[in-house]
Amino acid sequence: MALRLMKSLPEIEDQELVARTLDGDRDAFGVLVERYQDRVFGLVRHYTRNPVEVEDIVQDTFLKAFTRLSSFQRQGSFHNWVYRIAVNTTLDLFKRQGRNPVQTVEDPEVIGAPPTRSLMRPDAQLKEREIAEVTHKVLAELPEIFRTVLILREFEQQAYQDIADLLGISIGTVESRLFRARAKFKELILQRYPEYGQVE
Amino acid sequence: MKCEAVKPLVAGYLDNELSESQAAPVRQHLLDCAGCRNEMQSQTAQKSWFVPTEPIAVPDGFATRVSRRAFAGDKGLLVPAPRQEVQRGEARILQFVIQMTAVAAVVLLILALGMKFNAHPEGSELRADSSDLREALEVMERLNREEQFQLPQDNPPGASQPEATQPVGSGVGK
Ligand SMILES: [Zn+2]
Repeated sequence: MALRLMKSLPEIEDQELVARTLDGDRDAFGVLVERYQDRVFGLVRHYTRNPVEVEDIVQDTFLKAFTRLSSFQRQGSFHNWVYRIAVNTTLDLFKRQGRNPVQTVEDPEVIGAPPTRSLMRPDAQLKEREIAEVTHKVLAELPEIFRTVLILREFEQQAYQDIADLLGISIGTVESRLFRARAKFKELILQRYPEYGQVE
Repeated sequence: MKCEAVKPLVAGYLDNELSESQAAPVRQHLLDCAGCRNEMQSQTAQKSWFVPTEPIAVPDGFATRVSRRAFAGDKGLLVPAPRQEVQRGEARILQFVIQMTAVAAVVLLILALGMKFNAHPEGSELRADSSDLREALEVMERLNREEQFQLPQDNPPGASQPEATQPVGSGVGK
């Protein structure tokens, strides 16, 4: 199939595929989706554990990307652009379903004195899946903006600059938001699992 | 470099966000200063809660399907469209439900098959320049371990205070 053929030609750049898609080439868009689908699935599953919902969100992400393709800036990376759509699609859905009780427009302050205890490593006995379960549970309780920077930085290993571009904020804001997100994450996990605290 | 100057840079250092000229003195200080190394250790401990989870298998034919839908003008399921209100008559609603059930069944089947057969590796994409950082972190980890190991010997015999569990040298500048 033409789709397979194009996938085997890595030298076709994203920009070229975007241009071909805009010219009405369906296979070109298929190649773009195929190129980024793994990463978008990987990103979205940090927000929801339901695989069917993950698929719906990823599908919507690419459908939205398609309708806005003409607004894609040639100088930016397609990866960042589609990531931004994925994050917004996810957050829109949650908002509509009232699933994110902690809605914050401004960065919330981390109230109170800084905790004097630090977080230990997860128990060596814990399986990766169990660790992920604890982490995702705590993440789900964080205000949205905190959750997103932690997901992008700690799971997705995104550079500060990429996070800044993706969220449309400055690097300084990324840094301060990450700082507070980490403090809040630590605070919450220590509340839920005090056995993982140790005196600093 | 002083501890007060190093501590705010530890997070950026661990995230590999410092330029080499910024990172070098931080790295050197961390190798020399147990207190700052302790701070670094508590931050790496927190990072280790973010383990890569098993990938969700992308269903077979996903890209082709999405592309077809996109070109057919599908704007997505999650767009807030009053789908059901548009339906008129019970027969049409029933038809809709049957269709959606069939779609869901197929999706589940594909997903199940995909999960079974498509266990692809993932996430080993470290940034190219991160090997230096990893090496330095390993050395620091070792220093920390050695320090914890030596700790009981530093205490006078018989004086087992609760503070004995605290790291030595914390807050001591260079
Ligand atoms: Zn120091």
